[in-house]
This record gives sequence, C-alpha cells and structure tokens, in this order.
Amino acid sequence: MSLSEKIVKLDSRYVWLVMIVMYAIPIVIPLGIPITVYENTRTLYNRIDELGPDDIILCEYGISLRYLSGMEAGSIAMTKHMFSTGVSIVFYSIDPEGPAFYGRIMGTVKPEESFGVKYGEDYVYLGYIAGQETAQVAMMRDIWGTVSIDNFGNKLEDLPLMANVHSVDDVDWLMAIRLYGDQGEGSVRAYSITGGLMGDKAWGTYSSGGIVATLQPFVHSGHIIAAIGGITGGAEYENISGFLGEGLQGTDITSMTQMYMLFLIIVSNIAYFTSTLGGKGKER
Amino acid sequence: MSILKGPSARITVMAVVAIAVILDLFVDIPPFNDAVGVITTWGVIISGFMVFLGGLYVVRFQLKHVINRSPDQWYYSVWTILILVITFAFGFASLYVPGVKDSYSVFTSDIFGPLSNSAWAIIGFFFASALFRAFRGKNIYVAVFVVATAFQIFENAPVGPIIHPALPLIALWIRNVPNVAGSRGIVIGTAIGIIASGFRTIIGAERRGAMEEGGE
Amino acid sequence: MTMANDIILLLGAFFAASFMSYLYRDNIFFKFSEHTLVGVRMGIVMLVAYQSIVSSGFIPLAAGRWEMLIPLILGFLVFTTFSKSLRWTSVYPSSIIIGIGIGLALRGAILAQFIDQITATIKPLLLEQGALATLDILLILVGTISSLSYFIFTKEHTGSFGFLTKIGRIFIMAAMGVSLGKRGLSFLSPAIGSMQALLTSPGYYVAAVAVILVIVDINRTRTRKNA
Repeated sequence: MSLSEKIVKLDSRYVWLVMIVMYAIPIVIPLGIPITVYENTRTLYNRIDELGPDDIILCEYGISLRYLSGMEAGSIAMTKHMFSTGVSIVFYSIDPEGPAFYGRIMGTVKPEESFGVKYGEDYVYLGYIAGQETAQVAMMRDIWGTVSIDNFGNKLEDLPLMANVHSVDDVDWLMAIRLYGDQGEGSVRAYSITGGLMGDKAWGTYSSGGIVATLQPFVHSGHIIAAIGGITGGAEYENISGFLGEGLQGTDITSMTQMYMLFLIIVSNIAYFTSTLGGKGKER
Repeated sequence: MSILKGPSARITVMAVVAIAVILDLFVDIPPFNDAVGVITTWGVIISGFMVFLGGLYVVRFQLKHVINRSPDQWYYSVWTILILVITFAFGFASLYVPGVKDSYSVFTSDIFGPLSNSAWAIIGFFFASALFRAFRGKNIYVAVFVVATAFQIFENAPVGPIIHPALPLIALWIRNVPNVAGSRGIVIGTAIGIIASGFRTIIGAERRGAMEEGGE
Repeated sequence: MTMANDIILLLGAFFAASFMSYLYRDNIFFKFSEHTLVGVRMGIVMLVAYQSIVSSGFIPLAAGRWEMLIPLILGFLVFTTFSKSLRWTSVYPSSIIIGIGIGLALRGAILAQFIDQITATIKPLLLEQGALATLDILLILVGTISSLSYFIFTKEHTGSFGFLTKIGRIFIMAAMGVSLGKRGLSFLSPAIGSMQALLTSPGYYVAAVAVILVIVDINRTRTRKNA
C-alpha cells in the first residue's frame, strides 16, 4: 500500500489523537494570538453603544448549554456592555435551557455589584416562554398578555420597569443571544415582520458560528443589523468592548484546531488524488 | 361525535386559525386583531403542555426498557427516570421552598452546563474525521464547496490574518457575495415551499403527521 | 477554592472524560453520562414548561381571565395521546398550534423571505455606487436567479436553462461551504470546555485516571488477541 493509500485509509482515532494535542497545546502554553475585529462585530458594538439610560430593549436571551464553552465569553462581554450603557433590559428566553444560561451568565456579570443596576427597575428576566416563533410573536404583540410573572415568581405589576413595557411598540431595540434551530427565518418573521424591527430598528444577534452565514441574506436586506457568531465573534466583542474574559484562550485553541482542519482537508485531497483510488476515480 | 373524530373538523379548526393569523397582519380591525392576539397566547400555553408531554414521552420510552428488562439497557433507564424525577422535584422545590433556589441555580449552571457542553464535545472530533474522509474535490461543485469552507477557516481562526491579510478579506467577500446569492436563492425557494405547503394544509390536501388521528 | 467548588469541577471533568472516552470505544462511563444528561435535561425542560404554563395560563385564570380555561383544557387534552380511546381529542390542540404556525410562517415568508429578498436583490442596482460594488450586486443578482432556477423541477435542466442551473448549483455549493465553514466553529468549540476541564486543576487527576484506564484496556485487548 502506498503512503497516499495509507493516509486515505487512516484510522480516525489517529486523527482524533492529534486533535486532542491541538486542543491541549494552547491550554498549557497560551499563544496570545491577536484578534482582528471585523465589520459585523463593529456594527453590532456601535449599535449597542448608541443605547442609553432613556432606552429600553428586549433581549431574547438563552442558548442551549451544549455551546457553553463557545459562547459564554462573548455573551458575558455583550451583557456587560449592555449594562454599562445604562439601558433598561427586558430579558426572556425561548430556549428551555435559557433560565440555566441566564443564571450562569448573571452569576459572572453580577449586574448589581458591577453596574449599580437594580432588578425590577433596570432589568427583568421573564423566564422561558414556550412556543418558539409563536412565543416571539406573542411577545411582540402583548407582553403582559403572554406572561404574568417573571422567572422568580414576581408579578409584572410589582416590577417598575414593566409598567412602561407592554409590547414591542414600547421598546427601542431588540437583541437576540440565542441558538437558531430553523436557520433564523422564524425569528426574522417574528421580529422583523410582526415586530416591525427592520431598517433603522433592525435587530442584532449573537449566535453559534454556522448561523452567521445563513442569516447573511437578512443582514443584506436590512432585517438584521448585524449577526456575529461563535467563539471568535465573542472574542472580537470582548476585544472591542474592553470587557476581557476567557475568550482569548478559546481563540488560541480555535486557531490551532481550525488550522488542523485545513491541514486535514489539504492532506486528504492530496492523498486521494495521488493514490490509486483517486487516479482511477473509484469511490472509497 | 363522529364528525369531531373525523379529519374535516380538525382541518376546519386549523384552517380558520391559520387564515385569521394571516389576515391579522393585513387587516386593521382592533377586535379582530385582539382576538388573534388572544389565540397566539393560547398557542404559547398549549406549546408549554406539548413541551411537558415531550418529557413524559422520554419517561414512557425508558419505562418500556425497564418493564421489558432490555438487556444492557434497563438499569440505565432506571437511572434516567430517577435522575429526571429528582431534577424536576429539585426544581419544583426551588420555586416554592425558601432556600432551595440558590442550590438549584448552582446545579443547573455549574453541573448541568458542563455536562451538556461535554456531550457535544465529541461532535468536533467526528466533524474532523468527516472532513478528512469526505472533503475531496471530486468535481467542480465539491471543489467550490471545499474552497468556500477552507476560506471561512481563515476568517474563523485569529491566526488567519497573520498568515496573510488578504485571506480573511477573501473569506468575507465570499460570505457577503456568493454566499448571499446562494443562500438567498434557498431562502426564496423555501418561502415558495412554505407558501405552497401552507395553502395545501389549509385546504386539507396535506393529511400527514398531527393531522391524522393519534399522530405522534 | 472551597471543597464544594472542587467537587463540582471534578464532576465536570468526570463528565468530560466520560464523553470523550467514546472516541476510544463505547463504555459504561459514556452510557452512564449520556443517560444522566437525558434525565437531567428533560427534568429541567419539564420544569420550565410547567413554569411557562403557570405564568401564561393559571395565574391569569386565577386573576379572573376565564377565557384561559379554553387553552388550559386544550393543553390537558394533549396528554390523551397516552389513551387509545381518547387519543382523537389530542389532535385539536395540535390543529391550533399548526394553524398558528402556518399563519405566522405564511405571512412572514411572503414578506420577509420573498418580497423583501427580491427587493434587496434588485434595489441596489438602482443606487449609484462604485464599479466593484456594482459588480458584487450584479453577481448577487445572477447568483440569486441561477440558484433559484436550480429548484425548478418542472422543466428539464438541459440547454441554456441547464447551464443556468449549473451556475446556480455552484452558488449553492459556495453558500453550503460558507455555512459548513462557519458551522465548524460551533462544532469544535464545545470540546474547548471539556479539554480545559481536564487539563486544569483538579480535573487533571480525572484525566490521568482516564488515560491509565485506556492504557490498561488497550493492553488487555492486545493480550486477549495474542492469546
């Protein structure tokens, strides 16, 4: 068997073993590779930075914890930035793991201690609302008709912030920190069409890496102002906002593993085409 | 009673609701809009029950293994049901028993979080072996696919601009131009599909899934 | 660091090692962790669903909104799927959900996914801009039309139409490639947390035990093969 054929038929466990090494190196020896902040992140940052104490925003807030290590750092940076502008925030979740995510992020952000805000007056968390797109539309139309208590059992009447927030007409913007199961179209339909949040009021989102590509047509058409994703998007946001956290170590690992992916693609293609399998056009 | 059991009644309910929701966006009659708003809230409540039902289905599935003593499985099923009940009870107690809320919060964020995250960790390894095995530019289409993926790697990795500053810029161009064009075609095609299948369902031409009696 | 914190970190490392052990082979630690995940997740999901029902349904009902009885009764009908004789009633709440879903999808799709996307493709052509930007817009226009034509299955993809669909296929493959490339980011990032858990204190004790167990198993398998 030639070297090319050996590579083509290589046991996956060797590939995985090298990959474990790629993950381990930056943890043991931090590389400190500098981050480049791209336009999407800058646009989102500037939009959030324009908010102030007179503004109220809705924030769909909740990612499935399976992507915790990829999105935690960016979510923390974004949350801190929102609080730092003085904007009032109404958080809610469409993902069942949203409350767990909220607890984890707020446990790190500590808004009362770090930003002097007060729960109920400056921010509230309405908890998980079932129904995906139905829930999003219900929130756009009538928040008080959709939920009657927050995640901690407090009635909406007892939360001073909620006195002035009844529907999307009472808010200035919307930010979604979430994962998308449906390529994002449902959220565009709910927020942009029902909620009217497009053009000048186009909403922003931070999600997993993959959705950034599929949401690009909606960014282009003005439904979404900016979509950033994944651990790299989060690290860029940490960098530009100044709220540095654990994103940097994650991006070192990302660099190593992504380059390894590229190496695998190049090597497997060279091996395939130089081996008898590729030459004779046979399928493996 | 047989009318209520048949498909006509169910399709009528579904069609009336669907048409009302569609018209709501284009018609400005406050009582009608308010009624559709109320129906949307009903959807939220019913969805909550359906999510709860999903959990009960998991219990039923695991119970079958326990009752049938499925070899090499039944004791895992016992554990699954046990931990499900304990988690639910713990969370339920956190809502109504003072002092439990903080412990439950630690449980969900610091124990469940890493548990869930770890489960998905192996996906990356399978992705790597999939790239290694299947990502071969056998024809022009797959070659375009592979090249587009490869360039995104240079944008994903912070080391990309260090290798060459042009690489992530090319990746951004691919994302903002060919990707938008291709994705837009898919989005418009999907929209046409949604419109077509939506109308088929409203007029009763679609009889699959939940439209059939006991559809699961 | 408190003892409780150490225990939580050790537990995280244990789960990380258990799931990653599947890369070696299926084993009891992986199965145990997998079933723990399913059980815990469903427990959490059922709880938040309960909270959502209470917040949206029971509390307003208790406050005097009697119309909430209708969705609550419909919601309970959902559980009749477990009964063969009453199962037929469970389709009504499904019908309402499907009706709402179709209505929202249809009205949104017509506007956001159809009209607005077509407008966004054509409108930039009418604006004044530089040569490169115009080239990009023309490329998007050609790409959108050609990739849409690929989905026309009522006409054979031959001749000049076939050439158009081939161009469309290239744009679609480019979009798929970009999506997979970005998705790679999200596939690879969960392992970052696992590896950090295993390579930092106190997780490296768990990692060491896991490595020893794997080496013992490899030796045992080799011995069995040789025997």
